[in-house]
Amino acid sequence: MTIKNNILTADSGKVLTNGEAFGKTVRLGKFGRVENWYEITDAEYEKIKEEQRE
Amino acid sequence: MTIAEKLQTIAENEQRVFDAGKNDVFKNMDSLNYFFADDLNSYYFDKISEYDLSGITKAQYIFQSSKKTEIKALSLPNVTYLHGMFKNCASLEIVDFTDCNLKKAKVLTEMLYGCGALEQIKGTLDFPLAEYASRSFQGCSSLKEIRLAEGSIAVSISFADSPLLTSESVQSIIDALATVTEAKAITFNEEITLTDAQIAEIDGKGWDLVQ
Repeated sequence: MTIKNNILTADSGKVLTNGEAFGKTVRLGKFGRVENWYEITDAEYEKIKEEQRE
Repeated sequence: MTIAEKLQTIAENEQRVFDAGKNDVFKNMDSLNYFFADDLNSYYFDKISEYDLSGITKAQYIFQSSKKTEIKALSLPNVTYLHGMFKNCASLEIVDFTDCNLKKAKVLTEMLYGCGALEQIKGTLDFPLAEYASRSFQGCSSLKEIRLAEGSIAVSISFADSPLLTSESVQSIIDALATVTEAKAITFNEEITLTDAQIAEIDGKGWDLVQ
């Protein structure tokens, strides 16, 4: 993950998540915290979505 | 009165008694789970709005996996738990929320989950008490038109799977974001281009913007 000012960008092949929201970039608002966001792989993201379908 | 007219009157009276009995059934119900799922109970489909549904406080999967292309959402004025209302209605193209009162709903999860053909949500969505709206629009890959009441959203919400939202819909979503006092996330699809003014509006309301 790269962090520039208040914008987090996921590395290639990864997705940022806070456990609920998922995306490639996150522009933190005034209450957002970097430590709340972490990366998972695209494959892990697809697996999560697949599990939610069931 | 002819015999035919008498028979007609008898039939109409019997229908009234039949309907009244059903109305009482709804009146005494506090949950409405799977009621129209897989297009069950089709007798009620066009008539349900005529019945008193004010006793319903919990409803799950009401229209789940219906094959209809257009559905009018139910007005459930006292429902607080509303999960999977239209989940996996894969043929649904239009859903109509006009005059639909769901204002007491706190849980609104997976409302339109998996509605991949859905293009238009008629009416204005207004869920001022919502505490959970997880995956409400997940899989809505055809969604173009949606309107939400201004300032009515105070929970994290995602339109990650909706790249076709019109600019008016995007603006309506942004206008619907309430000013928050703790971290909340609004997610748009990567293909949605936001203006600097829209980004500033989201930021000004305190939201994390995810794409």
